[in-house]
Amino acid sequence: MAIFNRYFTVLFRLKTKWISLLLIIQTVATFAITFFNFHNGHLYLNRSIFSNFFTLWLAIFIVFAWLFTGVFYLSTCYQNEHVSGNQTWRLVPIDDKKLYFDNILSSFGALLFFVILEIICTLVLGVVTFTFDSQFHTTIIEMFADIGRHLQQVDLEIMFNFFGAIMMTILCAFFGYFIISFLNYSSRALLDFLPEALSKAYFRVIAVFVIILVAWLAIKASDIGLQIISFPFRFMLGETTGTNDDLALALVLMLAINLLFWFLDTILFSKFFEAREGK
Amino acid sequence: MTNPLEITDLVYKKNQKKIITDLNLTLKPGKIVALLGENGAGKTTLMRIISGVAKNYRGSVKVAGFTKEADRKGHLSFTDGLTGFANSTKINDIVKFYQILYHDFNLKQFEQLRDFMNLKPDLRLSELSKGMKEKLVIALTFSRRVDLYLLDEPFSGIDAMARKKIIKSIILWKQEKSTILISDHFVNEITAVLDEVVIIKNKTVCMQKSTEAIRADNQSVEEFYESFYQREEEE
Repeated sequence: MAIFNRYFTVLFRLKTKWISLLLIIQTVATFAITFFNFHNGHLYLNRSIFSNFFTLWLAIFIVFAWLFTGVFYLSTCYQNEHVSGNQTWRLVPIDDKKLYFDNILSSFGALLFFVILEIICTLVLGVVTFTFDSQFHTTIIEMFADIGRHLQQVDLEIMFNFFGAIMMTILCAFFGYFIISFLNYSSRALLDFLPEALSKAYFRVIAVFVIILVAWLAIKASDIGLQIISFPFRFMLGETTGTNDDLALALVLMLAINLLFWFLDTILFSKFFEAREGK
Repeated sequence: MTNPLEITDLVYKKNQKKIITDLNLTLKPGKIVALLGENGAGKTTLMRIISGVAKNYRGSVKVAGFTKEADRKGHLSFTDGLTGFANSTKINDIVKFYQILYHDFNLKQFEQLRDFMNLKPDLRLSELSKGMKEKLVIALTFSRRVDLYLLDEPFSGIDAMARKKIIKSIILWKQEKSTILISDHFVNEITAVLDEVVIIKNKTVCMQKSTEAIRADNQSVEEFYESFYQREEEE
């Protein structure tokens, strides 16, 4: 267990290394966009709502937070595969099954850490906006009052929907890691197995297949993603539609799919997926 | 005492091509053994199989009596090219990585070796030449206390003078019972420290002989190695 924790720590540090840089870029970029839009009048947003500089900055920051979380998620996906196929990381005396799990878990941990930092940054900017924009101040107080009223109507079903949506987001994040690893490991294992000449031709077929699959997954994921993202807003507005059964079934299915891919990935990783020669 | 390395009936295929076939090899404790063979003979592959990074092989590989890959990795030290680190990584950070993940890593030993190799701790990988990087790899490899050291062409980029100095010192860096398996093209330079020679040809070990026996036949290791190939070609 000790090596598992130590390996996790090292991987977590590796994956969170550029978080501060990413947050600085996000802050500076959103500030610059706000500054030029606000002072040059190139504002495509509603002037009556975004009359204050900080309100506009906050709005742009929140939009960018989604974008940067996506970028960071993709970076953890890349780092997962980099670590898996790297001789330096594979030489560490840890069982391959534990190494794989450590790798995925540290990526998820890093993602969670990034999301928490994004929330903290948004809150800080939110407090500043709250202080300087009276209209925003009033809107927020009204919104909280509204939420307070809705909270009295919160029952088990709404709670389940709320936490179910969070659970679904977590499972989707893991699913992304698992499916990318699966495509990487299985294609590499096949390429190593097939004769060299055939292997090159097969690589092209796999590349086409992967592009089609990624496109299909992106379309599917955007549908699911939109539903998940819109859920908290719908909840705040008191529109909690959908039945518990649908969500429960989706959660069970997603969990089963994740477990299946985790199992397949572990087998492929420990039995067939070699580290690249590192000289 | 358990042998540091025992390989039985090893077969390894890649892209349906046999790279290693029916390979058997046993190394005794405390020896320095040269692994010789032409380019593409399978020396690196063999070392990668022993260290558990190459997969999908048949046969048995035991390091210090352990067959499980994780246990094997814990009892051997392999010269890795440090490709897992970004070029901006400092030597100090690499040392921290080794300290955290390898319980047998000896910092005092590393500091001595680093001094010996003239490497500054705050240098980044991007600032190291090929030879300096190889010196760092050797220092890291020998800073671990293990039963088996696998050195895969460790001196190819190091200048002749430093190479001679390092080769002479190798015997001082290893523990008495540890074994070193070293593959290198500079056969004549490493012969002074060698106890045994293993030759890989036709995808398997075709000769394992002590340097004492070679010298008893009034031959140098280099002459023996060259004449071995000539003999095989004539046959």
